[in-house]
Amino acid sequence: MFCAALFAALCLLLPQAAAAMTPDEALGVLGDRSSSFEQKKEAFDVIGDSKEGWSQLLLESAQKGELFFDKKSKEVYAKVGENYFKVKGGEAFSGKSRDLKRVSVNNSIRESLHLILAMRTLSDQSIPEEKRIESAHALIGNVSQEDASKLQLLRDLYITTDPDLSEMLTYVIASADLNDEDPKIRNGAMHILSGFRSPLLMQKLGDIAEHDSDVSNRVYAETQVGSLKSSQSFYSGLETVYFGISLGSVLVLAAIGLTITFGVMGVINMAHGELMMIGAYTVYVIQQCMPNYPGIALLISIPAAFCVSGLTGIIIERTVIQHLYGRPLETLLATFGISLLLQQLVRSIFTALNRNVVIPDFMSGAIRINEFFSVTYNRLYIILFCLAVFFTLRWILQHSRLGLEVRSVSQNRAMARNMGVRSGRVNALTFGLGSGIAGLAGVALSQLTNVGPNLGQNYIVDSFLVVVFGGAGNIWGTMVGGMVLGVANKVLEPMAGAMLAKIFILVGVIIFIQKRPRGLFPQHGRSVEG
Amino acid sequence: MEKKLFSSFAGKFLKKHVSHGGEAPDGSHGMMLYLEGINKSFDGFKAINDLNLYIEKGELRCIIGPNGAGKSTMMDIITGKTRPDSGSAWFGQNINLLDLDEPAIAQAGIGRKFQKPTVFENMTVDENLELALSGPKTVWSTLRGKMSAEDNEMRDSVLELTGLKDLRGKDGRLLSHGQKQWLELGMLLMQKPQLLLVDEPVTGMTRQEMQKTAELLLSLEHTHTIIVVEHDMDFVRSIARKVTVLHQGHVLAEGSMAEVQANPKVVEVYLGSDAS
Amino acid sequence: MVSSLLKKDRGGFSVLGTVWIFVLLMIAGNAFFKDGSALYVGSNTITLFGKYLCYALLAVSLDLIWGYLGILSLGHAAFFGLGGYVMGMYLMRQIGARGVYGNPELPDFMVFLNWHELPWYWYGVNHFWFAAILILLVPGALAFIFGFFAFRSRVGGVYLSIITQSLTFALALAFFRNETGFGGNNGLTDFKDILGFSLASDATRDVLLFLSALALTFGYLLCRYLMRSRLGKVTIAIRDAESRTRFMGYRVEYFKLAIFTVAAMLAGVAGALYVPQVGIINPGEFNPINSIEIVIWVAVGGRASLYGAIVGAILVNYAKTVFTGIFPDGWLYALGLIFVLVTLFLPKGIVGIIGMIRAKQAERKALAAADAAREAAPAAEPAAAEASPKEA
Repeated sequence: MFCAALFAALCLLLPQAAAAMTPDEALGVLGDRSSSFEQKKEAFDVIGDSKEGWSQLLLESAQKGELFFDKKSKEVYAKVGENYFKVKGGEAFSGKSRDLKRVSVNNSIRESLHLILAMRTLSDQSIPEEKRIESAHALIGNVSQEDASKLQLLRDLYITTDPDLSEMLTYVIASADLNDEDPKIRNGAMHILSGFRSPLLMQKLGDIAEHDSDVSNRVYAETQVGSLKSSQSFYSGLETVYFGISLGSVLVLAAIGLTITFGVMGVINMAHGELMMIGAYTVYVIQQCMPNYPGIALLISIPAAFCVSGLTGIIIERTVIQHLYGRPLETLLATFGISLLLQQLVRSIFTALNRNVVIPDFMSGAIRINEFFSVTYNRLYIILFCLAVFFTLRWILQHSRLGLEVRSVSQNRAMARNMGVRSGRVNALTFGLGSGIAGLAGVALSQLTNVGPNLGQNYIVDSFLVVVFGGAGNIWGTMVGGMVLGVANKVLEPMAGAMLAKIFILVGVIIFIQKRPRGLFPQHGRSVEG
Repeated sequence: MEKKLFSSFAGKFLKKHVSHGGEAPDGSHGMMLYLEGINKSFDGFKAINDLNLYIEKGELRCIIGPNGAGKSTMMDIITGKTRPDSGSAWFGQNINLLDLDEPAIAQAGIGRKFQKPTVFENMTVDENLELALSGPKTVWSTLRGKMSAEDNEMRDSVLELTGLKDLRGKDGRLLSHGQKQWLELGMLLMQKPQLLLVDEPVTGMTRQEMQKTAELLLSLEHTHTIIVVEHDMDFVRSIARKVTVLHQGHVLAEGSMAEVQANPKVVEVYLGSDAS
Repeated sequence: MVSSLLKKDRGGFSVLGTVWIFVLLMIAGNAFFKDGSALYVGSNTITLFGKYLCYALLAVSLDLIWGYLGILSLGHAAFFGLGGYVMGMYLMRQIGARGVYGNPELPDFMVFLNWHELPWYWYGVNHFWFAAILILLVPGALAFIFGFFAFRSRVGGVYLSIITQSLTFALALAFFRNETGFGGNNGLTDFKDILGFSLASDATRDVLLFLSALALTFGYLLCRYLMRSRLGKVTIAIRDAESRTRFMGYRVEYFKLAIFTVAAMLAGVAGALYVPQVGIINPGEFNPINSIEIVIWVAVGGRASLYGAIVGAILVNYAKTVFTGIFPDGWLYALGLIFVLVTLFLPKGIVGIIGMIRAKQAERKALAAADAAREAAPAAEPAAAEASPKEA
């Protein structure tokens, strides 16, 4: 019943002159090379109002410039991919390609098509509300006043059923009213729009602020522009901080494993980057095993990557590192060799090319806070992931037996051994823990960047920097240090460009280390003396 | 016989107090070292608590006290390794120790022998002594540095005094613990210091070696100011003139060995651990 | 003086001697024989060996700061790169109007970027004497400034290593940018001649090889002289017991600074001789992995020996050439294994092995001598045994 009312409303909106044309006749007009633009516009209007099955395809193709007609048969075709299909009926085109000519349109028709399609979307209740709101949003500032009146009816219809859509339509109409001749109407429109933060309107408002005939309008517009601008810079700043925190989360995940192995064992693990890479590749492999469920694959890879990287770490510790304790610089070199081996191993198995890791649906999209600021899901999840890992780790270190042993060994190895702590076992497990977390970092990275054999090398320098800056062995230091460096990086980027920002950060940390050689939160313990 | 050797050595080489890289300490008023109101905490633990110490020129002072009394920290403060939280430290009338760092303090004339013998393992005894030789220590002068005839003579004497003459070509890491202690003492002597800080010199030594050490230190008395930190009570008794007892970073008692041993506070602190 | 330095240095003498024999033979083989003859040495071989010798000098300079001073610098190749870039700038200016764009003042890449005048830091580098000064000054100045701050704050050990790595990484990032004005990621290349001599000619290559050997020798002797002196002993003292050295009155920071700067300048010279031989310098030289490779050369050869560094550098790079020719994928495996095996089993490097063999030989000799002495002695003992009961 509602649809009937809708349809009736739409019928009222039909321009008078089109009362004569039927949809099929309109199709004929479009297929006729002698048709004028006026006629074609009318034809589109008619088709826009019709409920023919092919009307949507025709309108969309026309908007994209992919509507063609056969010179000889006057049939109208839509281009889909590389082929042409008859709009009505769907048969593929089988004639000679030089017989096909594009249906030409002018700007007026284009605008008209834009509105027609928007109207159809807005009227179609089967389309989800968000999409319709988006559609309405796109119309802001792009409708003339005549068209706006058409929308008023729709708005009134929706007030009770779709209040959000109705509100958006109000804004659309108001944006058209900004061009009204009557200054009072313009003023009214501005007042309506003041509840709607949109960068789209800033230019229009700026115009009004400068050129409007009415003084009060000018003044009002100016204040509006002012408040929009400050709003914009505030949210822009917020966005920078958000990006900074998300980058910081990645840095923290990457560095936290390193700080444990360094702080606890005094071991500098140059293969840490490769352990991250292995974690990322784990995601790839699991996704290959279940190609239809990338989301589940990602979730499974979290424990899987932890185990794979962790095990690799334990193997490295037992075969190489345990023989080099007390010689941190030698360990550095040996682990560097291991990093080369791991990189080359991955190259041999997976080739040197980057591998494609699918980002599952739940990771894409965003929460739009307002016009100026959206919280993207992928970054949000990574931040949450990082916090989860951090607090779990902290719990392990503070409250579990392993954690206690790890802490005791790091502070005074000899004493710990005297008390029965098997420092060899603790070492292997600690190294495994740190490596496992590197694997988790790799899982996060797989969603942000290319997965290739060089992934580790891209993040190793940054990870070290976070460890050195935050204080080795102190996970709070890593957290704070990583976040600070992440935000600093993002703040500097717009000013100086990505590379220069990185250089500044590097130099900044070098200078910082002069003042506090042990980092932000130094750890007090023997093994750190190095 | 060895006593004579020591005094002749002292007379010949150590009378000339040469201080490089700074002024010489002014000991004219009789005080060589003033520590006043020194406080130092480490992470909330108060290692030194309102410490006052006055060492006269030419004195041989022994510092004793249980573990954790702050003896090493006090040495660290004097030699510039640690900065106190408050208080003042003067070397002679004119040298403010708190303004200087380790090399400057060493060049001003304070020499330290460490608790754990830290000799240079990969160099020979000869080379160890050469490095300790007092004199200008700039990069250029070190590059051009050669042992003069007098330097060689002094080194030979030191080798003889410390009994390391036959071992002069041996690498430091091949020496026994006692020999390392002696090498370190030798290095200290090469520095020609005016204030010697000797931190547990006889740990791991035999009775004979201890006696020898005692004689060496005694021979340096009056011409040098010496502070000795030790645990071994027999040794302390053999050299002690004035004894200072440290406890919890503070001076508990001061006086001759007999006075200090009779002091009930001292006895309590040591819990009678030293029976004699 | 040279002879006195080498007299007690059998290792150095033999290594340098071998190098010189090779160099002279190669030059002769290239200059006096034609292609096709069995004794001919191709220009590629000449250039390759010249490259090895530049690396050897670089390794010697690292041995100075790592083997003797104990600072594991993971960014030493930065100084090599800087010296190389200065030389590259000189060579670029020498191209003059013969470049693709024919601009007598501006190198091709600047024309390509639409620059209209030479940036200030390119002034003067067309004069060889000025470039030569800069080759020493630029790496030296960077080392001095960096060292001044780093050593004064007493950053040490692993932290310092990480910081040096960040330094070279920052330089890599900077030089990759076109805006920095050094050719961006393409670097500087297409050189024509040096001091008027064409870089393509065999004669020039021979001379460059000769100069590389000369530079290596000079660098080696300089380092030997420094380390033989008391300065060298202080350096080792700082490495083994820094605190103690400070307490003896040595301003450790100044010593570190001096050695670090000298090493940087030597590395700069090595880089400067490298560039005209390989014909290109690009920001890849600043990648951290290059610096770490130097460490492995020194580790393989044997630290704190100086000639060990030469041996290590030549051997490892030779292995690299061979490997990448036959089995390119395997080179990284090999390199990785070298790292692991050398640190685990060969802490003293090849020189160390030779030292062990010598020590075993000496031990055997001593035992043999002791045996011989004992055989002579028993004749005396019975006589003594007879004598003592009477005395008692």
